[in-house]
Amino acid sequence: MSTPRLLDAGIVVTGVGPVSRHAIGRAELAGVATEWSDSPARDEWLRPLDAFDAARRLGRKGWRALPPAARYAMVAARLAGEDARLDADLDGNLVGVVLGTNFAADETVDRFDRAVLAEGVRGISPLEAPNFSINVAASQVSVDRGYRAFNITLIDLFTAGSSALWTACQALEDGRAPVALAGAAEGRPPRQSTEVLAPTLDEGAACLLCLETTDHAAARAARPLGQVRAGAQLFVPAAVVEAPDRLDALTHSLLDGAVRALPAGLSGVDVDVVRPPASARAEAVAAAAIRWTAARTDAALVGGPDGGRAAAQASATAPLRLASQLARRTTASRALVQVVIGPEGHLVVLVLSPTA
Amino acid sequence: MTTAIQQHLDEIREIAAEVLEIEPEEITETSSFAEEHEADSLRAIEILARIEKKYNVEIPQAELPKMVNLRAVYDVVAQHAGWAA
Repeated sequence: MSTPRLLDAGIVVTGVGPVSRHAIGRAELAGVATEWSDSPARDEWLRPLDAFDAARRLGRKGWRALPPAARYAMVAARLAGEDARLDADLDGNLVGVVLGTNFAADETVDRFDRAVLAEGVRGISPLEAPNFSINVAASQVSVDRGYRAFNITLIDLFTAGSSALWTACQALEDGRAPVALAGAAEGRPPRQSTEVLAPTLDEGAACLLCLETTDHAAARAARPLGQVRAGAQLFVPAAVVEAPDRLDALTHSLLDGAVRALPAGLSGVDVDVVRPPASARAEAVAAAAIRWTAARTDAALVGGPDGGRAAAQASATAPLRLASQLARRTTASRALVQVVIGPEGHLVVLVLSPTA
Repeated sequence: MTTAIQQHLDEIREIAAEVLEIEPEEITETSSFAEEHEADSLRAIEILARIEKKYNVEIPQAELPKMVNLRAVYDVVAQHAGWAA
């Protein structure tokens, strides 16, 4: 589908829950100068998540048998809920969970493979056996918080976190629930993923946003960080990527349509074009989005000197960058458009306006 | 209590504590895994699996309902491992 969907009901972001090597929690995120860009190439391809202390964040029990991505997701969910000041007694039937991930299960599956080859089935721990499933992180968020409205896991490479945010927005717009926690959680990536994402990757990260219908947020006097006005996702065929005119026609009409959802009176549009630096295909699509930005007198690229080339947190990269910008936004007059492009041709667009 | 029995009890206590995510000292010979240490069926199977691996012994899953505390686990393992009473 190449037509953006404009949201009528109004979906607002009322909290963010970042977990990354740069920052854990909104306060830290707001103080970080980085634009979530990738560091220049260095000796090691994998950067540790040293600052994450599961026992401190989750207590002494209930997480040790879970994969790291599930632990990060659970902490991100708690942080997002706290940031949004969600009532701890909120009816779980009112809250859905949508999570994107690429590598939540990779480390577990790899370990299981080696154990089976070395020891047979006895090498697999029964307690860890469920962790081979890619949806374990999202499921554990729902189990931990008691959220039962819906639970969805998406896995498109790099764009899954943004797809999750957009899917959650649509679910709220369609009345499935008034609240959702959505974003991404990542575990340790396999080394070969550096070939399509970035030369240096993080061993894990997560970022969940608390999304609410405007009515629900207003009823509990929440303080929104931004309002999602429109979104879109589509697959850009390789043949289109190779034809700049067709690529511009496709992406520009999509972006033109999406920003029509913005209210009048804004002073401009900030555009964050997020794509993995290792992907020429993503870069080609990004160039089309950058051309669209350049053609608008009221638009400006954000993302720092890298221009949005970042993928160290895989599918959590874009939600982290979005949360970072929402947490640090000081001007209430500019819209924010995030264009997220994956190495396999997925494109996700989110259009947000400031809130009064 | 003989040294061998105590050693086995301590080893099983370590295994159970790790699976139940508590300190070994919290597990007494008669404290209930389910009621006092929040064990569920999956954790019970995990304890069984680790014990089988450590002692290279096969314990039928039909024995699981008996394995409600440290002493009971020891008794089941001792029976199937042929440990002298």
